[in-house]
Amino acid sequence: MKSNLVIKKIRKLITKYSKATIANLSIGITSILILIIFSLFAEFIAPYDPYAISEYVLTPPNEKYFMGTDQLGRDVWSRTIHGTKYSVSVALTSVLLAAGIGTVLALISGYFGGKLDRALVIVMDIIYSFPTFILALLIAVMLGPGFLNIAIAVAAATIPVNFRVVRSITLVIKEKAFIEGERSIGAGDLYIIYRHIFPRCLSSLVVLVSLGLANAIMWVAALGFLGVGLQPPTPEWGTDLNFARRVLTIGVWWASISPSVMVILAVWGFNLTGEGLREVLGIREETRL
Amino acid sequence: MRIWKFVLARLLLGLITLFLLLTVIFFTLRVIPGDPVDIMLAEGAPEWVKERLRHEWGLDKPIYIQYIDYLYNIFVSQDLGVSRWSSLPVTDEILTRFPTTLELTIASMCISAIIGIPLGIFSAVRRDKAADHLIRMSSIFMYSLPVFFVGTVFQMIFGVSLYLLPIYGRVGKDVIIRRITGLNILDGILTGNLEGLSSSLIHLILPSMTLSLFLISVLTRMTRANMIEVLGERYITTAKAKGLPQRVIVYKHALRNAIIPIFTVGMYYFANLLGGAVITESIFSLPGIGRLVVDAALRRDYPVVQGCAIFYALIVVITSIIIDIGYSILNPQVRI
Amino acid sequence: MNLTTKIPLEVLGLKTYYFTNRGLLKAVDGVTFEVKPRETLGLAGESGCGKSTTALSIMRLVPAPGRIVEGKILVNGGDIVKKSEPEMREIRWGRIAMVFQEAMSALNPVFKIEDQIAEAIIYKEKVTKAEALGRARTLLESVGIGISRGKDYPHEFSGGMRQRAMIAMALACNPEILILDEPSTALDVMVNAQILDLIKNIQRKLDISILMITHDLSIIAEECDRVAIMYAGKIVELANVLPLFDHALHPYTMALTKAFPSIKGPKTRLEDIPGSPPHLINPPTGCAFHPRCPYARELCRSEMLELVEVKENHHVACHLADKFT
Repeated sequence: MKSNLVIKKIRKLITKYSKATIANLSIGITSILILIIFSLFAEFIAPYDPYAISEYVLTPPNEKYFMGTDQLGRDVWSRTIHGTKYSVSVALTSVLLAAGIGTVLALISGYFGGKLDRALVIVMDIIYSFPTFILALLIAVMLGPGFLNIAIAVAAATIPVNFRVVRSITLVIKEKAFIEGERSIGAGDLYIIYRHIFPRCLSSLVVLVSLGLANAIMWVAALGFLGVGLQPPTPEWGTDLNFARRVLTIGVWWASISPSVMVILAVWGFNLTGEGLREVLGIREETRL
Repeated sequence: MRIWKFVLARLLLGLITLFLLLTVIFFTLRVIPGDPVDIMLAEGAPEWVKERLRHEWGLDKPIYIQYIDYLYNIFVSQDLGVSRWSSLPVTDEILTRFPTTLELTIASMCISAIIGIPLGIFSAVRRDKAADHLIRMSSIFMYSLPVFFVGTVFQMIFGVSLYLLPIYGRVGKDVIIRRITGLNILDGILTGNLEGLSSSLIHLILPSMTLSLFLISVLTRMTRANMIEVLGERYITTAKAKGLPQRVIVYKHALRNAIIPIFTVGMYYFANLLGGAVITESIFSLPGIGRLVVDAALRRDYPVVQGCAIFYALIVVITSIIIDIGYSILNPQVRI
Repeated sequence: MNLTTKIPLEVLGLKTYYFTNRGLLKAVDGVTFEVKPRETLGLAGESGCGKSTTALSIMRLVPAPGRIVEGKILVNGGDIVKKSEPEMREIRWGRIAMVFQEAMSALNPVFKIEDQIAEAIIYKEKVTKAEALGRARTLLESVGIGISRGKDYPHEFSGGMRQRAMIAMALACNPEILILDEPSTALDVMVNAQILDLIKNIQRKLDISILMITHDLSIIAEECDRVAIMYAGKIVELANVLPLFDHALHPYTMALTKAFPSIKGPKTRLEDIPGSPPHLINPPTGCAFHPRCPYARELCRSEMLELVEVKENHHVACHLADKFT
């Protein structure tokens, strides 16, 4: 009996949303699942140790090596699979950092207003209008390579977007009549923020996080590509693509394929999910990065 | 009369913002760990050499004196220092490379606008039909393609396999264009240099196509969303009730309203690109600002990094002034 | 009466339905009326009864997912339901014009007022821009707006002025039929009165038939010659204004007239109508008003009646009409 109800609910959901949204979410969630599986079970899925050097340097794909080997004879496919967890975890860290800091600042700034608010808005606007990728790049260079440093660099350039969106929601809710009512029965400010304002920001935040992850993964790979990301021999997608590109001109096409495909899959997956969620949750705010 | 007041006020605000930005840049760069002198010199450098260098670079003065010197140099003598790598003035380094980035940015924005905006209108008018879905899906996909991937693929296909288009540099190997503005296309036209002009154009194709892919999808989605919103407004119903032809309703009544946020966002991306499309410039070996900044940062060439940051600040302030003024021209409700 | 005079607007058995996700919404379910030359017909009813959809149907501007399902709309004898889009574009504004409520959102915010008025003229008639602007300015004057204000944008006008501008715009191409959708809802009382005076003047001067849509019975009483009362997508009573107010024959109309306070008359208790208007996706069976009607019988639950001329020029759709005369 219960399964009938579930099926009915799912059917109702499917008819409610457009085909485009369903397609977006299906592909998006599928690719996210692939990412999760690769990240968690890399040890079991990857045929070889990503760091294992061998003498079979730059061999094209064959039965032994699914996507061939790189300059040091390492299996490209295994490196790509292992690379998933690095890209995903750095991206996730940066997005959570950015969302966390941005949200907290936005809630305080939007709710209490005044000089603090005005100052923060100006600061955020300034950061936001700077060429965003270059900002992340410069911070990454200044801080040096390393997991946390990259995460901080990407987060720093992403905080303003989170701040803006959450602040605009806060401003709207703050003016609503029931807030006045809550205050008059003695509710404290923090209680109001925690209980009434923050929950209403959640759906926008979910969309921001999803789109933010797409962006972060793209940037982490780009930083790696420029040689500023996680350093070799870490099997990061961008770093691997940097090396793969060097041998492209001598006809080594295979080393570039799996990292590229994974980056595209990951970014696309999170973008699709973000768009789908935006439809489902009915977000209207501008969430561009 | 009121317009001038508004512009003046806006310029003043811009100046203040610039000032703030410059101050932030100053203090940020001096908070970074690592003594620049140590980084520049080799390991066993004697102390007196370090002292000498420190004095030369003005690092031994108190911080507020350095700050005043800094501001004085920027505003009065337009001196941004000297590169610690090339020993050339930073200003020169930047001004030599900026036209490359500017040309690339303008080309990419033009291509993207010409393709993206009509595509967005097309999509909006055929909302929820097959064409719309196709365009939306491909938009999100194109938006997800990393620049380094697109650039490399273009190079491989058009440059290597088909041997159709050049994949490196701004002009052909032996082509020289006399430099007036630094914008090769403009200079080529001004000096009547047909060979230079065509060479520049051909070399610009792949890099600007690479950048445009991303921008086109952004513009398409934005235009579509704005047009759909505008087409649902009541004044469109009025326009229909007036019996106006469909194209007048879409292109005159709707687009004129939808273009307002598109302009704002477009300028935002323009400023972003002016910062230098680092990866594109890297892949196509274009000597632009993006590469300058990155290389300088990697070499710890602080004067250049600082100089570029100052330059960005200027771009940001100028663009935001243009956005504000442009917005008030486009949107009568905001005019002072 | 000249028998060869064509009737400017005749609506016959109009049915306009919205095909929504949640079901079939019968916004207009068999509506028949006519507007005679130089007459003002009021179309009254609560929100959601189908008045605006009727107006949009006449303009053939019903938005998706709605469309005209059945019926005829005769403009000077010609049925426009069957006409093609290009033909409709000719008719719109040139033969029938509409003044929308809330002029602020009905006017394009980025164009000057005089340009918006002139635009209609330019696209409909072969005149130069200068000529069109000249006519636009004259029109503005005729509705009481100074010519110099023509160069302003909609947001620079007050609410009342915007409404006048809309009226001026509607008259730009000399239509025979003018539809006014809630012309005074968004305005305050004083301005309201001015607009209504303006409309009366217009009708006196020009040879126009007016369809006035409103929920405000006092406007009907002042402005209209005849009135059609709508309920749940159907017309329940259609009569000359005075007889209707004097002696309404449909229970709904009776309740409506009693719900409006009278300044002059005896101070009686205001009676409101119990219950709420029906949802048009699943209206009650038979006569849609029966759940709220104090006189409802078994018959009312099962059968809906057509409009029947019970007295001279007085049509009602009620089983108990005879009892009330």
